Parts: sequence; structure tokens; C-alpha cells
Amino acid sequence: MHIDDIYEEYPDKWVLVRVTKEDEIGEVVEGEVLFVSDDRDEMYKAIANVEGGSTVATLYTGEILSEGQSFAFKS
Amino acid sequence: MTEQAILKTFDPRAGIILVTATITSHIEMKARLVFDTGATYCMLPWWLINNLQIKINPKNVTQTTTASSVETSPIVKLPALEVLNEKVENVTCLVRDLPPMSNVDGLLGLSFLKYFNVNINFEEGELSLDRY
Repeated sequence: MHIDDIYEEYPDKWVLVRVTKEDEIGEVVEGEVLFVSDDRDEMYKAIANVEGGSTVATLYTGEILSEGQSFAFKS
Repeated sequence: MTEQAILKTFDPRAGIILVTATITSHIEMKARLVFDTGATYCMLPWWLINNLQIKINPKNVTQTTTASSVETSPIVKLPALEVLNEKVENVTCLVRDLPPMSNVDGLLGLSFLKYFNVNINFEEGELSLDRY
């Protein structure tokens, strides 16, 4: 499934995909949807079921930074 | 001269630079990290580290100074982390959850970035890493 179609079919979700095609800088182009959730941690837990040697990706299909929101991190 | 991979898709008006980082453990995991030169370490959440089967030693911790407090968090070594085709092994990473509303997986901090001259072209929305 093309990544644009994943964003369209599962809006505002956390999606775990098995990567089937990536571009020259490692960005996901196509993937097979493995798990969809509103909850980021639930999606991370689903990684436990992924077969060793697989390439998977996490996607958030909503807005990363909404209007009026800002980030300030320090670690 | 080696050809540099350039991220051409970041939006300079977006307020953050997001990169796809590939973490190698028993699987390859592509996570979305905020490019953060203000962070000493890369940072990933507990559930992700656990399910990548990366061992957390509760005695191996560091104090983190944030904007509002000082907190103690475990640190781990990521076997390998790759961004824009540049791979670094044994990357120190803080294990800590970002708030749910952050909608990203974690931070790409100096424990990875320090190996590169980083070029950011805000006019064109381009990012490249030049290993020295």
C-alpha cells in the first residue's frame, strides 16, 4: 500500500507498517499495515509480534504540530 | 567526494524538522524523530526500547535537566542508528517517553549528530549530514 493511501485510509492514527519499499534516503514509500491504534504505546507493544529480520516503521497520520502548538525539548 | 544524502522534504515553516531514523536491533525499525541539537542524547520511549529487545539497566541512568525540572532516566546503547544513509553504531540513547500529544517517536540528539557537520538550508528545506 502506498504511504499516501495509508495516510488517507487511517487518518489521525498510529500505524505500524512492514516496509516493502523505501526511497534513496530511507523514507517509507510503500508498506503493509500491521497495526492501527489511537494509542502510541499500544502500537509499540505490537512490535513484539513482528518477525525478526523485518523492516517496520511507525507512522502518525495526523498533524504532528497543530496550529498554536510548539515544541521545546531538552534531554 | 562521496555523494551526500539530502532530506529535501522538511518544511521550514513547520516548527520542527522531522527525520526518519532506522534503528537496528533484531528488526529494523524506522522511527520519526525530531532533529534536536539542544538534546545531549537521542531519546526514545520505554515501550519502543523494550520491544526492540534492547536491555535497560536500571542502574545505568543520567540526570536530565529540562526546562522545568531535573529528572533521572535510564540510558542505553542502540546497536545502530541510521539517518540519511549515515549509520552510527552504539549510539547512546535516553529512555524516556515524550508526552502523547507530541505525535513523534523521539529525539535525534547530539549523541548521533556529533559525528557530522550538519547542513541545514531553511530556504530550500534541505538537511544533509557530512561525516568528518
